[in-house]
Amino acid sequence: MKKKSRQQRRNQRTKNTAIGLVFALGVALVISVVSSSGTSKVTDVTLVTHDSFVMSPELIAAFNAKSGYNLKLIKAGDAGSLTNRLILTKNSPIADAVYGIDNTFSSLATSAGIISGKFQATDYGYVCFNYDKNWFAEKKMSAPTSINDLVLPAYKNLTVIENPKTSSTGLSFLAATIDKFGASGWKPYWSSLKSNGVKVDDGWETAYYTDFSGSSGKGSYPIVLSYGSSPADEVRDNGQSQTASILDGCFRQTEYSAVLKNAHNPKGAQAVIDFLLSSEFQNTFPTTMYVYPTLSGTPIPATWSAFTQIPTKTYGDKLDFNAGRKGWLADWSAIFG
Amino acid sequence: MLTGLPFLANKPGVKALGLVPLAFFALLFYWPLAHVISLGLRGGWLGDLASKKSVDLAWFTAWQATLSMLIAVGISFPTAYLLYHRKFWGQGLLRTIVAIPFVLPSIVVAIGFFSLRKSANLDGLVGHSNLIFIIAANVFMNFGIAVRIIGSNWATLDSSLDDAASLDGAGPLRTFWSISLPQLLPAIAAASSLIFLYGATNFGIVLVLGGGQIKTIETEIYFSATQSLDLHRAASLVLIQSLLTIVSLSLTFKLSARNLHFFSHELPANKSALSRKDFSVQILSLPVIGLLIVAPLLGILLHAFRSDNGWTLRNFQHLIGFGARNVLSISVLDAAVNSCRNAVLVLLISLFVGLLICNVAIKFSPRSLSRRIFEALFQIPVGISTVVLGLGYLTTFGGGIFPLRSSWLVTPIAQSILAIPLVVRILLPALLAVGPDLIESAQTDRATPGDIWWLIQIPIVKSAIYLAAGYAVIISIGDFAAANFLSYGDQATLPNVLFQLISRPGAQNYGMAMAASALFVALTASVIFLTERREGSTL
Repeated sequence: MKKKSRQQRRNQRTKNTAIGLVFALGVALVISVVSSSGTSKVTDVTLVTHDSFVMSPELIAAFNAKSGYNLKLIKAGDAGSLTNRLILTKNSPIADAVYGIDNTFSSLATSAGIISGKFQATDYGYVCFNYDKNWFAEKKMSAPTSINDLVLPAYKNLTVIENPKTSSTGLSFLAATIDKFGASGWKPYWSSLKSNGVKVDDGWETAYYTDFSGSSGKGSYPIVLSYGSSPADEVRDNGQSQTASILDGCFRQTEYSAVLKNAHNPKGAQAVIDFLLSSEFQNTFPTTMYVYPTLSGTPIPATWSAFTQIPTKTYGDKLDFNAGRKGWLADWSAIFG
Repeated sequence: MLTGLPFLANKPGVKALGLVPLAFFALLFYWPLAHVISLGLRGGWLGDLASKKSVDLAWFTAWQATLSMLIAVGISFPTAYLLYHRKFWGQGLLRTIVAIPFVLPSIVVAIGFFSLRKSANLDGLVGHSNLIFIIAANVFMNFGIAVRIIGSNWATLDSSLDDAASLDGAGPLRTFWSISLPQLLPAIAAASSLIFLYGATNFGIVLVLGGGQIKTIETEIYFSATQSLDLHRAASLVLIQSLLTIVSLSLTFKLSARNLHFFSHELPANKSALSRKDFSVQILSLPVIGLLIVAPLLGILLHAFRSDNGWTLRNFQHLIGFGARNVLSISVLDAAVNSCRNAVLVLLISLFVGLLICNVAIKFSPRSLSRRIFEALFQIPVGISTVVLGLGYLTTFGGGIFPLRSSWLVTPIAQSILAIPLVVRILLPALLAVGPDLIESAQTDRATPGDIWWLIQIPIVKSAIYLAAGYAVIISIGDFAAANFLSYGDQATLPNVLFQLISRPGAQNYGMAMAASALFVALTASVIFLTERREGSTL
């Protein structure tokens, strides 16, 4: 009996320790849930961007040194996915500042109330089709010169574009077609595009780097919805660009940055945006992201003047995206399923 | 008569302990579920559900799940027979191999078949090849379940009966048809409904392999919520999906109630060795194992060491970086750390809550209504898809009085809700199996209930606890759907990061996804092999 009670005591101790541990775990859980909603350190500042954003470690270090903050980056898909994600999480945002919402999605962001203050135009570019010059030369075919050509049988199964629901380039092109072909003409145009075998990718990265034949992915589509400045990035050893732009049906796209509403660190967010607008960062837009800086006087690389042309006429930028988007996308989805 | 632990039945204090898991589930499962369903019921849900698009989606979801189920079950018989009704050298290794796919994270399976499609270069046939690869991936994942469930029940059949039949001149097919098959029907039905359930909720596979063109209800819920911002449509699809999953789940439970063992049990040792007559079965089984299971696994391992310029280790070196054009917010290594941290937490939470549930459940008398209700309350999450849970968390805990979503704990907590039902299903039978005489004699020795719990019950169910812990870890590490809704930025988990890598272009990103998947395969294989050695069972 005596032996047993000693054992009992020992077991009681083990049991108490176990219960204590579990209880401590529970308490720790509750505390961290309650407190972590406001935990990130004040010196941390988080910038959420689309996937194509590039910021070198040197520039991050330069920002941290200059501002005293510690910059963290989050990539959240293409501009559309980015905007949607921010709307879904607007009550406790995943970041303090956002870069990469463009003029096709900005009205959605504004009406959903995810932005504190105003959008700052940070860079711009022209959404145009590119084609693979080598591919057309090999096939002894003439390249398309306008977006009307893309529905011709000669160009069947040759074009890859981006989904307007998730991608800002996709929505840009949709807007351009609505502007160019008018309320009665754009849906028939898209039906013809579909029956002409156009491929729809979720984002620009996949379309350009995987499916397009004229870039690193060496895909099987020689026509891609991209940027007017992209050919400057495809200059080969012979000094020629492998690609060129179709200068018809282009959309002038402006990308913005902004402080997010309910940000933990709004001051830090403003510091990040100021940095994105400074000449130090603006310099990198043409070379790393192939878009034009908004800060006037920022030098443009020499290859750009040789390989990019600015379209004389652009379409769609004047449309009311806030009023139209939902209907356009519903109509588009009805065509593309 | 002793029912459960009757000496405690009159102590209300113990049953009151049941309030802890009930509160846990009320807050972290029923509240978000009710919220997302009420969201669906607001607005024009009836019109949404009756629309051609929704009907097509439901039809396609059920159709592809049924097809996967028929194929997986249909081709599993020869292998089930070989691995469980006969014995031969190397059987253990083959069982391990067949079990690997089921335990692999679905995103890894999806990546494996993505790479197969890529090397088969079938991209030209987009629509069809996507569908073929989705079905193939489903069959790959579920073949092992069919083999396991059917096989382990086959093992309990007396093989002298079919030996006698063949002595009487019945061919193997005839013996199978008239003797084995009728006895196996319950196992076949249980395996089928379980595989249908998995097929109807294979989010990661359809997301990766469907290329946005093939959609199931699950992926459409995800797209409606995250791309179209149409939470009402997402929530009304939740209603269809839940109907589908709850029906197939209750079917599974009903069918498996009769002595079917999913998890762990002793296999009888009276199996006969392979004979010449089994040659035709080998012909039917080994190529299936080779082509369906081994080839995709080898494909992942080989691709991990390949680049455009030949063999390389570079894919593995890249895992500490952020991918081509810095597509990742955190490195694969950091994501692995997050995943491990989540897994440890899920293990602790689900074992704690699971043991609490079991401890209270056995205090009820076995057939009582209250016991059945109590147990059912904790099994319902199995019938709710992870996508639904993720959407519920996203819409319920986004702000307001309980802003759980902004905490990193949100993912491990959601994963615990997924793990607890399984933990309970493993632990409860084990605890119930602790003989009443043992407890009775302990009582006569005046052992306290606590002593009985810590000294008798826990040691006896120790191996069940290990198994439950293993499954909790597997669920946490493999979860893709909940994490996809809930983990952002520096909290991304391994499956999140793998999805980003495979869905973004670039040979480097592709190579990294393959390297990380290969590590998963190697890890899973060795864990299963070790447990198989130790326990003689895996599923």
